[in-house]
Amino acid sequence: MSTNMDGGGLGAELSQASEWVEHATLTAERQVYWRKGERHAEREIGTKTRALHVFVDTNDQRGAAVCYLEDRDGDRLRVKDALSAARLALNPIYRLPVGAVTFPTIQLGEELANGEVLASFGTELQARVRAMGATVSHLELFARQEDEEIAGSNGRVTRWRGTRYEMDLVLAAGPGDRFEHRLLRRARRLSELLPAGSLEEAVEVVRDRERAVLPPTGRVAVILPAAELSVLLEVMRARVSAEALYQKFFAHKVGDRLITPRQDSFSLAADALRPYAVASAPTDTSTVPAGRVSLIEDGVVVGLLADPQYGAYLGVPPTGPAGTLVWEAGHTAAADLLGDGPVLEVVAFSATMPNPATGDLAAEIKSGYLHEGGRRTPVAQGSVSGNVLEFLANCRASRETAAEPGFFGPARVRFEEVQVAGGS
Amino acid sequence: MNLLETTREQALAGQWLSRSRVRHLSIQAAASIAVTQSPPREGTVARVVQGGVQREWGVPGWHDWIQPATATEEFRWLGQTPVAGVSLADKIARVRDLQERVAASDPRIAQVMVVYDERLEEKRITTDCFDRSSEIARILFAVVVLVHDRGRTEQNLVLRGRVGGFEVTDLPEEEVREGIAAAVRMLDARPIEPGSYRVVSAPEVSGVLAHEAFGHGVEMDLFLSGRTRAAESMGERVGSPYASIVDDPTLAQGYAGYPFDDDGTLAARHVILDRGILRGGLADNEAARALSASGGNGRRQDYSRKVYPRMSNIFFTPGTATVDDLIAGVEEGVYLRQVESGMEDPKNWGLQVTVHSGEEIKNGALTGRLYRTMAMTGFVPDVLSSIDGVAADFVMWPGMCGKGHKEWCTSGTGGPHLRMTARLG
Repeated sequence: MSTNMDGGGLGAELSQASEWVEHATLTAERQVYWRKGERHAEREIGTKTRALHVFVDTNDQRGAAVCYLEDRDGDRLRVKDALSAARLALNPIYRLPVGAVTFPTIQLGEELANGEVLASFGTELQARVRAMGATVSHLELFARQEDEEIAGSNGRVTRWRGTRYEMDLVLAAGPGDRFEHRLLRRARRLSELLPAGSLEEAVEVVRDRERAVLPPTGRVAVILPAAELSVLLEVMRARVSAEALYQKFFAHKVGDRLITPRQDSFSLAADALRPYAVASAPTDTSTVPAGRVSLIEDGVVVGLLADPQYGAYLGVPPTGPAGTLVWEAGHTAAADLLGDGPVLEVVAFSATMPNPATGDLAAEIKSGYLHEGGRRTPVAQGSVSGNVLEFLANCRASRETAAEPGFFGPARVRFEEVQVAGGS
Repeated sequence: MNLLETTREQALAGQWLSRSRVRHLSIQAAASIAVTQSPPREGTVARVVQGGVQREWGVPGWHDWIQPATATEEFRWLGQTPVAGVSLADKIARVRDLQERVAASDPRIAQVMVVYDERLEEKRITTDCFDRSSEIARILFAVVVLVHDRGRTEQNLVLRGRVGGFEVTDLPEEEVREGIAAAVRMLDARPIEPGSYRVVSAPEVSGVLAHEAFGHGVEMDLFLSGRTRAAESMGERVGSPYASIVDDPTLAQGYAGYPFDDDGTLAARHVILDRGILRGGLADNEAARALSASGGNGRRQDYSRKVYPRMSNIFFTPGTATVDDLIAGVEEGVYLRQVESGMEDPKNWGLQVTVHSGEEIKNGALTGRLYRTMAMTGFVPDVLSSIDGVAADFVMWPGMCGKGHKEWCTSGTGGPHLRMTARLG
């Protein structure tokens, strides 16, 4: 793959741009669908995308716009339109990075699994589930290979290849398969879709669902797994975004304390170099190489995620792709987080969507366990609510770690005094 | 049924071909002040993204496989003022003008973001029986207001969106002013005490309730996979006689309308819940054939994803009461506004509607005491059976909807104000 912009006959149009970056992506994807154990659909899709970012400077202002090229008639007009759009959307000046740079080489995939491998993975998975006394009512497996290239008018060019896998798995159990539990997993390698023990744990959850009761209403300690923690961190990602701070979504600045820890300290970094991490990439679309950056240390903002535009506005260096948010693990064994009851261990919320502006969260409990008096009772429905910043100020993190898309950190975290709405 | 659905297989079978293009234009403007620079720099950040054309490869030549069509139908849903006739400069000017007026209207405002978003969709589906093509414009116009006080950030959203033209951006000033005032008032909101409450829901909350309660749950691929309890409950009472839910892709006020679905089936209104009785589901071609249902709700995220049965514009049908009547009938309860998110649970009939704002109702009147983000949860038939009042108003909201946590499609949700009982917390 080559962007070959001049060869595409767009040199005249691009000469009117102060700067430009092209991001080309070629993907090949296989999709296999099962329903009640039967493979009922397969699809193969190819995609070629060429996104062209153009920048036009006028005096001390810069306009930017994006258009998508189609390798055929009309591309010249699309570029002209984008240039016109950029001239209408002027902002304070900033520039793309300059100078030669070596982009990091990151392991981002494997040889793409072919249809037979995917079919075999799905068939074996379903056999394992059946052997454990549950069924698979729905399974989708997607495998995608991506070839990407970023080329800028600043002379920076890099290419990379990666793979992505996605699994949507619905387990059923109980009388007439009355109850279900859903796993949506994403990974760079097929073998990482189901970490050791995760399928067994999911089957146990769906089998226990029949005995589930409403959790009691009140303020209790709540333990969340890594999959839910990763979503909670979106509240913090917003608070270390140079764009969000420049746009006054928040009133704090670098050096300000966001969290006053009452138990474990809270420290957060971003790492776009993690091998095989879903969020890793050698560069962003502004040709800034990937790296690692410390964002929060013991509750204090020490760094920001910035692209060249907002980095320039705030006087901070651009950081490249955001990558994986890394939450510093704690010192407590996960098993010891249970401590004294009652403790509500949430396996999954129905939908975890904290409000990034306010930090407030309210989510239905899809499945979980109440630990009290040495007993472990399955719970479902009811809800957990509160503010993520308040949660983080009063928590203990496990020393065991886990990886989720965009997240690496403690496998479990215990939050104290969390509001639960349930039964009496 | 073993349906091999690769794009190549479809083409070779000569049964039907589809082609779609989506052009996407998004304009945002937000007044900004740098917070760490000296001296602070003021300015407006504007952003324009256009393009987003998606196309397919791997399918042999488009024209090679078209069979003679016996019926040709063309649909153009472009509104009163088609956006193609409005210059980009005028679109940006509309955004900037509103942004500047709102930002200057109240000193407590930290940020105002105005977003104009247009999606122009061209689709053509050809079979040996028909040749259908459409041009649809979906327009979103949103004002996001952020306020800061005492270390707390609050926000509010004023949102309009539907199939139409540039007229969608005609946002009433009064609505914007109320949106600003609501954001400021929310600074004093507190968490709600968890429990069961009498609730009056604003139309956007009613709509998401319909969507999560018996929208996803009657998408009939779930009938085929045994993943919904609704399959066993057709013809049964699952709600009060006040509760009727309809899905209608032809609804003029809706954001998710279409003249034919992604299988090429002409769109039609489907009654899901008729005065509390579960009546029907939503099907794509595959589910319609397998279950002898009517299709017309086959939708795909884009060409790279499979067609599934999906909702379009779903809503509770209006009643006859006034909103004041509904509130007057509540001794102690909560008025719910502004949805943040929702989630379905078709198998277990659970429900999550996360609401941004609640206001206390006491002795039949709003008290002004506000509650922060909370989840409305409950067992779906219990919640729907508790509905005992339906207002005569009707408002639709635009949004995006996933099936589970993926397969994103445009959605329309709405209806009237409802009165019911639900768990809040």
